[in-house]
Amino acid sequence: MTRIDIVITILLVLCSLLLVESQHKNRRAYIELERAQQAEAKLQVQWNQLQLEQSRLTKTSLIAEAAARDLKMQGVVPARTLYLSEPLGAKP
Amino acid sequence: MRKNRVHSFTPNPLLKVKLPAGRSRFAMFVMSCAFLALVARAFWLQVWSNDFLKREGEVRFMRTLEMPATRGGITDRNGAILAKSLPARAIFANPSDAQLEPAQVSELSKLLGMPERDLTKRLASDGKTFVYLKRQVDAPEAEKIAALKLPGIHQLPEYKRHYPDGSTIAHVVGFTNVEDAGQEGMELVHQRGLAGHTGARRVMLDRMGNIIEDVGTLREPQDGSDLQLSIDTRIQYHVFDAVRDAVNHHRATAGAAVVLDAKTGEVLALANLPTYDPNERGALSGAQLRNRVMTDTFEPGSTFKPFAISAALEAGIVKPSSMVNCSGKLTIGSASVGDAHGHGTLSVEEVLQKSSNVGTAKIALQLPPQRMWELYNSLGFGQAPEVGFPGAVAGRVRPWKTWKPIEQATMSYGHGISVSLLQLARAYTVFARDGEIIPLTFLKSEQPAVGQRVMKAETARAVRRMLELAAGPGGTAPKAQIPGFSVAGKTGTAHKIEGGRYVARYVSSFVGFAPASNPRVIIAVMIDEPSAGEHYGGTVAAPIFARIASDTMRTLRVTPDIALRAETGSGSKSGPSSGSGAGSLPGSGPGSSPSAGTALAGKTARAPARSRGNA
Repeated sequence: MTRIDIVITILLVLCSLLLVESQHKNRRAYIELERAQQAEAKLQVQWNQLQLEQSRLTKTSLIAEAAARDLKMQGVVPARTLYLSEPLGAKP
Repeated sequence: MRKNRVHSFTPNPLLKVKLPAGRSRFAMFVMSCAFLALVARAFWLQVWSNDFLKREGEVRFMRTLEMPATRGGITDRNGAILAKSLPARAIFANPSDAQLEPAQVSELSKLLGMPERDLTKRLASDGKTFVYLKRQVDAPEAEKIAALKLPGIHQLPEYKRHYPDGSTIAHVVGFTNVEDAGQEGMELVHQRGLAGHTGARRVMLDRMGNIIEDVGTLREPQDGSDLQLSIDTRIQYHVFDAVRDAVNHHRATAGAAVVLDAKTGEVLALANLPTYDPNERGALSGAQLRNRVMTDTFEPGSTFKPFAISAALEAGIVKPSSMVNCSGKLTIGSASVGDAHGHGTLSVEEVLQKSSNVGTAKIALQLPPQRMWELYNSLGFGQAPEVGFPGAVAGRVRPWKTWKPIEQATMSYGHGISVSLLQLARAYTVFARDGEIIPLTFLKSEQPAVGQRVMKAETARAVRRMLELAAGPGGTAPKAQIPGFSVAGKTGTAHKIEGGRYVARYVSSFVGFAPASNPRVIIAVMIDEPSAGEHYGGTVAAPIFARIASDTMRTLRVTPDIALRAETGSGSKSGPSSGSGAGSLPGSGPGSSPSAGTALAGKTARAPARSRGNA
């Protein structure tokens, strides 16, 4: 066996080991990715739950009831509203 | 020397025996054949016919995973959630495996919220391998059940639909079934767009069950698209509240109201009573499910008068100032049309303001029936409104060729014809939009609607003026007035028909718009069978209109178009100003007023279209 054959054989073995190693790393990384995606899906569900909760808590009926009962607020009617006229020549 | 060395390797004399050459060749041949057979077999299994082995291999480390897709959400025009799906679990049992201790059954029944007896019964289903215990269990409860690790009790993923606004908006949004398919309302209409489509992918697993490689996507998952409705939940709340209070106060069997945007044709609010909670769909009745605004028709009564009068104005038969003798009764054949109070001679303007049946009938009878029918037809009566809603009805307008004079007369004041509240509200867009009628939509639309001209702008404006008078102090509905805004509208009180005969039960209605000077919204209200003493549109429906209009103007931040009256605030040169003591709106309470509404009048005619009712 010539010297070049030995070098090539060693390189081949080395490449094969590196291939196995990279394959392994790839799989580990993919498992991580999967876990991250699952976590993302869970967070998405939580986000949806929170949005729904927010909608429930900000229902007009709840706010109107709380404003009238707890804060003693009253509805705005034109009779109690001060309307200001825009001065002539004013720009919006 | 060399020869001797060779001999030393063959000391055994048996080896010197010469075997026949054929035997060794034969052995060689047999062994070669065996090797060849092995090679051929290997080639066959690995190259030629490898499907089976590949499949078997894949079974051991490949999986097809479902990629979930959620149903689209429904929001109101401001993005408030009206319907959303969240993951839930279906709890099922394999009765043959589910051998539970009494304590376990007790714990499970508590978590499932079902009686122990029912649970035991289901678990004892002989011969079955799959029994649903409960569907659409919320995720936290499902996790608690899973933590019990009960034998034979399993879970399946599914979705549960949530409706945060509950019964307030139930008739518009509708609901889905346990399979997440739309059953009513917008959930049903937009089922195709809202429904998600699950995907699938092939993955490779390691021996621990981790996914280590994505082999390929078989089907892309597709989430359902979100739907944004034209409904404004703030206005919806006010409308629902007003209708509910009125139904309770007047001890009515039902009530409905709809608010339209006069500029875009969007439905801003639509409320129905009785209603239901779409989150609790256990025991729903037909009456609860009915969307009365669209699926119920009724004789509109006086709310229909403006159409006949506008047709006469458009045809040039009368002018707003033309005088009509409205005294006494109008006899047509064997039937007669009358008013509760004699009006004497009225101008056309006053006929609508005072809501005279006789005056309206006399004006209408000068019109060719075809002309009246054409107007009704162009306003959408007798045709189902194209709003893409299930069960939207067409109402009934008979062909003009079959009209008898008495029928033409009664139809002019809204009897012998049937319409839905939505049709009526839409038809009033012609008065709110200077003679144009616009298509309606339940979806948010930023663009102004493209209208179709039905009558001249001056005709529509003249009728608008009359409607403003009708909702004013001298009209039938002074209780429709709201401070700061001009309003226009018409009351209606109609007898109900049962078994082909008019009975002493009523439908009170009001259709109007505000501000009258530049209409922003059209509001139609209908109260079915008020039975607390009052039944006129002017006393039952008009105050609801006032309450809804006032709240809607505030919610939409519409600038007042008229100065406030002295007692409601101190005026200023720049218009309405601050004041105090105006806590209650005129007409916001369902009080009675003798000035409101002319009484029901006229004898029941024997003609098919009986002439009755007015307000």
